[in-house]
Amino acid sequence: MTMKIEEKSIAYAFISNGVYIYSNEKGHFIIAKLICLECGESWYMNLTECFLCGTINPYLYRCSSCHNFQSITKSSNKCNYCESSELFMVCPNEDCISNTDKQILSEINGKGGVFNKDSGFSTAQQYCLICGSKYHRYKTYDIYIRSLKQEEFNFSDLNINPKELTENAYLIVRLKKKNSPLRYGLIRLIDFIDKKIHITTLYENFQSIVNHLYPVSTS
Amino acid sequence: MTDEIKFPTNPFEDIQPTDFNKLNKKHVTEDFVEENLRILAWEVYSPFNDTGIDRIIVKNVCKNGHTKVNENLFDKKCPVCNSESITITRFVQIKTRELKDYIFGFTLKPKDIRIDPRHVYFLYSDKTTETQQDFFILSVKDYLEFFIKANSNPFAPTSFRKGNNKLNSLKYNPSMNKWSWSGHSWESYRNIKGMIRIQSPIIDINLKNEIIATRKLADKLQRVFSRGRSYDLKTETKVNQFLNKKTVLYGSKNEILKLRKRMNGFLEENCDKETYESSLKYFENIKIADILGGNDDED
Repeated sequence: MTMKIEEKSIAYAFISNGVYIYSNEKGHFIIAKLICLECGESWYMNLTECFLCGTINPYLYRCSSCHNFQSITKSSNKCNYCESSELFMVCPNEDCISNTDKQILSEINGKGGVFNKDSGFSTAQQYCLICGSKYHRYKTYDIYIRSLKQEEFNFSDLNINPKELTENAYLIVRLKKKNSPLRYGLIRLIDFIDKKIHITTLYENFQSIVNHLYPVSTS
Repeated sequence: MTDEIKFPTNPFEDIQPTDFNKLNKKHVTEDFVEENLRILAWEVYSPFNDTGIDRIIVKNVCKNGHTKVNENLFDKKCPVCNSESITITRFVQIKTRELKDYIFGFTLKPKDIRIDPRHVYFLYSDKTTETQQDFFILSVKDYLEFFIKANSNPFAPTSFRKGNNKLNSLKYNPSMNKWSWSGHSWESYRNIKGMIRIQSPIIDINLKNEIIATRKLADKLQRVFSRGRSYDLKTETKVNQFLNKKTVLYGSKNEILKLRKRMNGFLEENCDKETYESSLKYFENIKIADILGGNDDED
């Protein structure tokens, strides 16, 4: 079943906020995100860190002659400061064994440095960016979308089969009132089965919806 | 009962799985897997855009494990023990290959090792013989456990972290109709047997503990360095000594956070403004690439 345009619009809004979308023919879709098990921060499997010490890839070259850092997007393969061509994607942690041991440093730099993909010394994210936890998990929700003109409506108006609702089924209301900007409401559906619904909290930007579904604990 | 179910089966009567080649088969093979999952009563969700997870599958099962492999207890209690059903979710990564010399060759990269054990690898041999297809279905935890038990470690070589460690040990024996990995049987992950394994609700009931256990397995295998032909033996020894010590140096949450904070300050102090901003921008682009997916030459 093709997604309706309002569903597509919401799907893209989720994607732009770092959430994956999965759909089938059942009139709702699943959103999913890989997050830290402990604090809920996003987990990025494309992000690389030093295999040896866990320092995050700075995506920079360092000149082995003058030790200055420079962007890896530079067009010349020479150092901007001393014109040396000894530029390597090193681990910036000077206490890392990739820097303290001369033999290891020389061998890894022979492959372009720790963060050069040919060295085999970088790996996918292992530690949370916010809390340092080494555990991650998927978190999913079933998402239903309805475009409405009023904050008040009945569950029966939604045309949703209550039997198919999981604990993680949420309704996103796109509230479109005349001469007003688009606003969003969010409700957990099993709390409102067969009830009259009044959306009390309305969000003006979609990111607030994402933040509500994927909160990050800062404690 | 499981013997009665033909799985996998070709759901597309007008074609053979072998009618497509390496360049044009991605869509049809994923659809083949999807329809076969539906036969076993899973609800299947497809990605809106190309990501590392090829399908999300959902089913309601008895929490005591009484649910048949082709049954979904949606809106029903368990007919055996009358307990309420629970919803289980699996995140499926599909790898389809045609055998070469009876070998199923595939690659897994560090980013494919996700320690949520609901992450499931679906290895699909689309031409075991002219008329036979096979699936191998393993959770990431099963996959890691296999290598611990087999005393083998495909995660130690530098090629694994480089992303080009082609695994060529999964082999089909046509005379016996059996599959093995370096002599260790893989029959328990094959077809219906594999589907029964991933249907176990134990993972979902004890998710946090199962994640911790999977991390432990991953650490045991991934925090090992094998030099291959790229590095000197002395380097291998020193790196492995460092990795063992690392659990002390950068093993705790606080230590890793302190290190990262220190590195951020160090870069800010030692880079000119433009270079530092370029680093931050690249970091943001990588985050976006994670969501948009694609660009994997080997799916």
